[in-house]
Formats: sequence, C-alpha cells, structure tokens
Amino acid sequence: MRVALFFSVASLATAAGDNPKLVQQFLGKYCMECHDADVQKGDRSFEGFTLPLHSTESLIEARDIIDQLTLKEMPPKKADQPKDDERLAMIRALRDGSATAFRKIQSTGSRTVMRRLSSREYENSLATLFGRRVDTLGLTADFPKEKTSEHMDTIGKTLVTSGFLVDQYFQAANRLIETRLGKPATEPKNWHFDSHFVQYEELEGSHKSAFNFRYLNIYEQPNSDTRQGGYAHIQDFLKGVPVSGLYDVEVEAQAMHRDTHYDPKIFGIDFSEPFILGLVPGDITKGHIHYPQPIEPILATTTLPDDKPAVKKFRVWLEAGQTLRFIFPNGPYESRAAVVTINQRYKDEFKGEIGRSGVGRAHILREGKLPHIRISDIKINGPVPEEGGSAEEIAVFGKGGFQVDHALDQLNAFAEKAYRRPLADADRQPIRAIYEKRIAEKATPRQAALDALKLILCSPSFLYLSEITEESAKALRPYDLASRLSFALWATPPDEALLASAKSGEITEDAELRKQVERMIADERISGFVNGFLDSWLNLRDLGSQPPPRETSLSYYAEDLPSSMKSEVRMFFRDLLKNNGSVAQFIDCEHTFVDKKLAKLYNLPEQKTLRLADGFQKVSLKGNKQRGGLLGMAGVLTVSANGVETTPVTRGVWVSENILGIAPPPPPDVVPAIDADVSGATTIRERLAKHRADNACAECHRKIDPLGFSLETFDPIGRWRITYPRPNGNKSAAPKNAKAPEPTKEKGKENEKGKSEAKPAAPKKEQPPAPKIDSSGEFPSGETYTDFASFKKVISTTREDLFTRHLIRQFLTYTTGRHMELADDYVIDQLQEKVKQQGLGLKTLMVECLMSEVFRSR
Amino acid sequence: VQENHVQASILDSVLVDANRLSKQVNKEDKDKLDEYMTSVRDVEKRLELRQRWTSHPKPKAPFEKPSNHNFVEDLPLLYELIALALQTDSTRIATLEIGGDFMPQNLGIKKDYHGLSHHGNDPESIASLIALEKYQIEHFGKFVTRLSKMNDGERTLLDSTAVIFGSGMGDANSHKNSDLPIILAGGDYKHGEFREVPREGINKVPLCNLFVDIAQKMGVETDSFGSSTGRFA
Repeated sequence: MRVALFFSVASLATAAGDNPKLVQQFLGKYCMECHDADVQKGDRSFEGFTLPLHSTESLIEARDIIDQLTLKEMPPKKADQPKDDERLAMIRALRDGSATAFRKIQSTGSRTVMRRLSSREYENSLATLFGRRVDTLGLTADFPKEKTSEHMDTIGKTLVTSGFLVDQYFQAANRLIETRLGKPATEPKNWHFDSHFVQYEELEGSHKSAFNFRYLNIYEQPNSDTRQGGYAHIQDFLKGVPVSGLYDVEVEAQAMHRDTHYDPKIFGIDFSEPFILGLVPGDITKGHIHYPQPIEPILATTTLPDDKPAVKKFRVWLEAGQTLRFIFPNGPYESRAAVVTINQRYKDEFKGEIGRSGVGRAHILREGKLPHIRISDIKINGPVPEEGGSAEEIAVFGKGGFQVDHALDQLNAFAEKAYRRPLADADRQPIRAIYEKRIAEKATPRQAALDALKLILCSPSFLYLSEITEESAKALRPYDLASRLSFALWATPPDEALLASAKSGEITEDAELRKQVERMIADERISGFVNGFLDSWLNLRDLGSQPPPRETSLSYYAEDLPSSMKSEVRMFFRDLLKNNGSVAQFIDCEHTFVDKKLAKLYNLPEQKTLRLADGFQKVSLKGNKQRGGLLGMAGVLTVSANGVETTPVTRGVWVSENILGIAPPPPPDVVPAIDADVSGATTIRERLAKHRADNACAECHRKIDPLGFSLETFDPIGRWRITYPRPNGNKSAAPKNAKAPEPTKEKGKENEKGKSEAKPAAPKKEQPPAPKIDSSGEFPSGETYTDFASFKKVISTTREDLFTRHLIRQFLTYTTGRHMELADDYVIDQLQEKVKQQGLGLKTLMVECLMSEVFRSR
Repeated sequence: VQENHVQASILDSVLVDANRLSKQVNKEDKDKLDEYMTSVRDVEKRLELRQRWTSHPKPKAPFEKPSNHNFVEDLPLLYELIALALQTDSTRIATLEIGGDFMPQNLGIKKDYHGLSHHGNDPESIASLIALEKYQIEHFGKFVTRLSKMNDGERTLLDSTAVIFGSGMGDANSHKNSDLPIILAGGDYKHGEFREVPREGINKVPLCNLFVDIAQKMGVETDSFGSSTGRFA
C-alpha cells in the first residue's frame, strides 16, 4: 500500500509538456549572459543544457541550478531577478526533468559494496556471541584505525582489509577463545592486603616517612599531565589474577580533606562533590602500571564518605594476568604542582622542621590538608563460580556446555549465529574438516572444538555482510535485510526475534518490517545507532583530537569535558527520537541536556542546583540567546574549531557540509592562506574582508563566511564570549640564536619546576583592549542577522528543507553502508516530502527511511 | 608454534571458503573478496617470517631495560634504540612520531605543543617553538651522526639507510600543508644541498615523488605512490 503510494506521487507533477521551452527561456533571460560558451563564469556553461536530461552530468547541472535558485544565490543580486513564480516554475521543471531522467538511469550503480564489519561492530558481535563484555580484552586495540569516508565508518568501499588485519582477526579470536574457554576450572582464592602499599617511585620517600606504606593514596585524576599518584596499584598483586573470571572486591577507603582550606584553584576541581573511587584493570606486561594503559575500561565506581573509612564491595570481571588499579576520576589535576604551590603559599602553617627544599609531600600528609583518597584495606576473592557453567560456555556451546558427542552439532549451531543465516553443506564441511584434522593431530576434542571456533571467527561469512541476490534483483533477501537492519540500529548481529522474522520471510513485508523497526528503536540497544551515527554525521568521533591550551581551558582537562559534550548531543538525539520530536529542533530548540559541568560551561542557572551525581538533566533554554540547537552545543562548537582559535571559515564550512549538506569546493592552490594573528592589529573579520576583496575568493567565501560569523561568539571549546582574547602586547622579535634547552629532569626537581610555574606573570605594558566580536552577517541570498539567535532564525525559516534532506541523506548513507548517489535523489526528495507532511518527527524520518526502497535494496 | 600451525590450517580453509563465496556474490562484491584473499595470502607470508624470526639469533641488549620518563627526555634513547635495531638487523624499518605527548614543559616551556604550533605570530610563542624544534633537530642530527659511525659491511649504516625527517605542515599557524620542511639523509644519495622544486603548474614535484624514488632504490618495483607524478630526480 505504502510503496504504491510512494511511486504515484512522482508522476503527478509532470503534466506540463512545455517544460523544455520554459527552461530555455529562463536560461536565456537570466543565466546566459555569464554562463554561455564564451564567458563560462564559474566554469559553468549552459549552452547545451536542455530537457530532457540524458547524462549524469546534466543531472548534476540541474541539481546545481536548483540549489542556486532555491537559495536565491543566482542570479547575482546586481543582475535582473526572476519573479517568484518564474523561479518556482523553473525549479519545478528541473525537478520533474530530473525525476524522469532518474528513472532512466536508475538501474545503474547505487548498490552497497559488500562490507566487512567495522572494528566496533566486530567487537560488539563477539560480545553478543560470547555472552559477556569483551572490552576488558582490548581485542581490537592493535587493529588499524578504521578508515572513514566523509566521517562515515560504515561505508563498504572504504572498509578495507589487509594482511595485517586478517592476522589480527586470528590473534583476536585465539586470545578470546583461549582466555575465556581454554582455561580449566579454578578453585576460588582469597587475597588480603593491608600493608606494604608501595606506589609510584616518586611517592616512595614521602609515603615511607609519613606512614610506612600503610596506606594506598590517590592524589589526582588519571589524565593529569605530570603523573604523580593518579593510579594506585597493589604492589604485592602485580601479577594479577590467574584466570579470567568474576572477582569479589572489598575496599576500605575514605575521602581525605575534601574540606581543605587551601585555595581550590590549586586543584582545579569542584570540592562540593563527594570524592569518587573507580576501579580499572592493569597489566604489567602492557605498560607502566602508573600510567594509562590501552585496555582500561572502568569496572566500577562509588562515592566515598569524608568522616571515616567505609568498606565498599564490588564484583568485577578481570582477565587472566590483570591486576586491579584504583583511580580518582574527579580528583585534583596535577598533584605534583599542587604540592609545590602549597609549599609556597602555606609554608608558615607547618610546625615540624622544614627542610632546604621546603614543605614536601610527607610533611603535608602529616600536618596539612592535602585532598586525596586513602585506601587502607583490600580483599579480593575469586573467581566466583557461575552456576551451570560460565556465560561464555553456555553462549557458545548451549546449555550444559561442551559435549563431545554433539561437538559438530554444537559448532554448527554456533556458526549459524556467527554467520547470521542458516548453514549450507559447504559451510559445515570446513568446520568438520578442521575438527577432525585436529583430533587426528592428537588434540583433545575440546581443543579441537576451540580451534574450529577460531576458524568460524576468521571466515568471510562472519567478517563480511555478504548480501547475495540474483544479479538482476535489487531487494535484499530476508536474512540479509535482518543483518543490515540490526547493524544499522544496534551495531550488533540480529537477535532471535529478527532471525525468526527472517526465517519466515515476513521481514520483507511492510507491516512486519515496520513492527521490527519500531521494536528496535524502542530497545536500549538503539544507543549503538545513536552513538555511531552522531560520530559519523557530526564527526563527534574526533572530539578531543585538537587539544586546547591548558592555561586557558583547564576545565576541559580537569573535568573531562569532551565526554560530557558528547553525552549532551547523544541525550538530545535520543530524547528527540523517543518523543518523535521535530528534526527542526536540531536547528533551534528551547531545551537541552546538561550535567553540572556543562551547566557551568554554559553559565546556566542550573549550575547552582545540579549535583554531579544527578548526571544529565533536561533543562529549559527559554529566553536563552546563547544556546539551543546543535550549533549551541559545545561538542559541535569544539569539533568545528581547532582547539586554539576559531575562524568563521572553518566553522562556516562545517555548518555548510554537516547541517545544510552543501560541500563547498576546496580552496584553489594559488590562494594565500589566512594567517592566524594575535597581535591585535586586525580581527579575523577584517582579514577575511581583505581576502574577499578578491573576486575569485569572494565567489565561495560569500557563501561560507556568513555561516560562520555568528558562531564567533563561541570560543574554541564552545564557551560564550563577546570579545576575542586580549592581544599579546609584546612586540619584540623572537630571539634569533635561541639555544636548544636542556630537558628539566623530572626526578627530584619538583620544586624548581613549580617555582617557574607559579611565578606571577610580569605585568604587560600598555595592554591593548580586547577586540569586540561582531557576530552579524548577510547571506548571499539577502537575509541578514545580528547574532547567533537571529542567525538560527534565518536557517530555520529559509533552509529547513535543505537540512532535513541532508539528514535523510546521511541517515541512509550510514545505514546502507554506501554514499547516496544522484540516482537516489529522487527517493530522498520523496522521503523528505513525506516526513514533512507528517510533522518532521525524528522517529518518523528514521522509520520512513528504513521502509524505503533505498534501504531495502542490495 | 602450535598456534602458527592452527593458524595455517585456518588460513587454508578460509581461502577455499572465500573462493567459493566469490563465485556466488554479485559483481560489485568480487573486488572485496579478492582483497580478502590477497590478505590471507599475505598472512601466510607473515607466518613464514614469524617462523624465521623464532630461529633467528637475537642480539644481546647493551643496557638494562630503561623506564619511561617523558617523550622529551626519552627522545635520545628512542633514537639510540632505532640505531641499535637497524645495526643488529632486528628491523629494516623504523618510524618515530613526535606528536602531542611531546610536552614542552619538560624543556621549561610553559605552553603546550599544539597551542604553540598555532602561534598567531606571537613572538614569544615563536621563540618557544624555535627552542623546542631546535631540541628535536639536534637529536635528529646526533642520530644521523651515530648511523654514520656504525658499520654495515663495507659501508656505513647511514649509507645503507635512507633517513627522512619532516613535518606534515609547511606552516601550522595557517594550517598550510604545502612547502613542507623535509630533510633527507643517508641512503646513498648525493647530499649537501637545498633542493627547491617547482610547486605549481604541470612541472610541480609533489613530495610523493621522493617516496617513489626511495622505494625504487630499496628494490620495490613501483612507479607511483599517492599523488606522485614521477620520480624526484
């Protein structure tokens, strides 16, 4: 029913037979003066452009003309303007012409190239197949970084395979299977630690003298720069647990001196929040035990009381060879520097004899109020036996675990889940072959079965989404559709319900497909889509790759802002999806989601009422002119800047590409780059104005820059500002013969280093004023705005359709695993119309896209 | 060793699998399966190499395993490690990236590397940048000298090693990735001159041409790499 409707809409409009004449007249009247064969302004000549359209090139040209006319960017303002009805008639004629041509060339291209699982999909698949988290193993840690295409990490063509990767596939399968299924059952053991807590070598002296290693102390958050006590390990438990398993952990710990009278600025954290204790694994074979390690999922967290030690209990998963490490996620930033500063500012408070180098850590621990976490007792017990066998044993071999008599059946059943489809004889044969081969080589039946599992996990049927149909057919077959849907919405293999629907074949029917889609969107696992899609569409994946300077953005590090920034966008998206809210709210909206950290960053009233433990809350932005919509979110504002300074060009291009779906051409080679300058002589707007005085530059910049000017009132990490940073008044030239400096040795130089850091900056002579930011702009189509709020209004009222179409395009690209081509435009336009008629709901948009021909085709 | 044996059996098997699949898939997918099969064959070669490495006599380390300090202090040590690895033929390729974990504060410079690279033409930042780059270059120079003092058969290790040092940006302040500063040492090239090549027009010489040159000198039969337009010379 729906599909039928969908095709008939298109043919309604093509009643007018005189479209070719209309197009010729319009071009002649308004365009040919500049775009004939002689002048070819902007490399465009419409001399041979005529309806009906025959080639892909002419389709692209038509699309270009439509875009330009839609935006009123052409004809140029100084030229004769077509009347509104003329313009619309032209656009309509071109759209109809494109639709007709589209049907003719529809049969070519637009197919998804067989794609392998991306690293994250691969890891999710293993976690599903083995019934437990696998992130503690870091199986993909050494995989090559996934290649993306226009930020998308699901594109079949770009997901390449190399010898290195195939080798890694085997190593990963081998490690997973041997650690989780290859070890004999082990009796639980007890460990107890309450002394000899030797820590980081630089802390040894002070901890010996202050309390003879009686306590395990954590002084700072794990991502501090100069490390001094960010990870607390157990010196007598370095080798870790003997086998992978669940372990019960009891920790006696206390928050120390959260009420310290020392200046909170020294520590850079929020002392109104209770201290948090976290547990992460550590592995001495994988790197320094006091440093961040590649495999470091947070196993558990808890808050600690201030008045007296409390015993906290956890049950955590540890892999063979992993030990426990304790962290202080909301702890002070850079404890080393803090100790130095305390020495300088509070020396007089100390009674005991002060050594030559001043008050050291031991001294402060004995007499002072240094905030930290103190652990006094640790008990570990495990592995905890699991009833009926381990989760992996049951997930892989079924209830009752491995059975020699049914080994091949069990292996085949596993392969069916791994391949996401029923097996053919040709699938069973190699499994049997390797099992028997290994038995013949005197392996135990269990070992032979484990080796057969490794084969299954290296098979192309597991690693690739092979969508096979008759060459002439387009529609995906039931099992392929189930897999595509599942990886699209959950980033995991299909669950039982989906496979059942594929088995009966019902999944290819509209009603059933819609039912499955609705079910999957309502499921928690939809986070697999939300996170993956936002990383792809908005490139949030790269958040954190362009670090801002520490001296101006300490909170970015001390409060781990990138992770809050990401959460805001994800929460906002999920909320919109849940309520089927209009996608127009991505452009402007009167609410968002913030935690305490973002409330502070955004200067919202909630910064006073929110607690860290509240996590994210929906907050109203009514009357707030600084926030609302994606472009007011710190994540977007950070990822569209370079961490150090902002420019309307970079952010403008970002908005153009990711919000409006228009990719500006790359700058030509010959154009001089726009140099950043902090001397204060000119603002970026003035430098851009100079740049745009050149007509060739202006051609693109008049379209790009207006999209970025309004965002200049946000600094590189998305904080609101009304002035640029005060220029540096120092005009003296750089010293010519600078000698390469010697590295300051870390060890024992604590004090020296600190002194230079804490030295008050020499007063700058005659500081020039900070330049005020002008956030106004004018679109080439004539609309003007004065600030961020009025900019959003322009986008909402004039470019909402562009945005919706782009969102649809990106959604289809991500979920099908291929870029949308010209031949898809027709369907995309139809989808946009349909979604618009139904009120632009985000869920509506997703459901309609997933029901569409494009998604259901090979 | 047992592992290698199992892996070899598995590789044989999946290759057959892929071949079979390749006959069923649609034409746009064939290339992907070819890519997979080529990769599998490549792993078979890797297994051979791994096998050979297990029986290869390992050199004795001339010093105790050092502990990490920070990238700045460790830089000379990393260069020494590379020199020793090349000398003992433990590897023939080595790369060293001096990136975001190069903390200028360990040189007594207060700002961070990324921030300094966007210096905004501030003389103070430029001075800091010069200081820290000088440090990097000095140690690169020491490394090259070290190679020139090591023997590799009849010639020096430097003669048989092409050493390239450079940056992916000509000017990080304007984020310009043309006019890259590049030093080439060793590798039996004629040295001692500054080469400036045409940067525009049909005769322009992209850096990739140099890579083609080096690859060919190393015996790799290829006439293109990335955006190359020919050889460098």
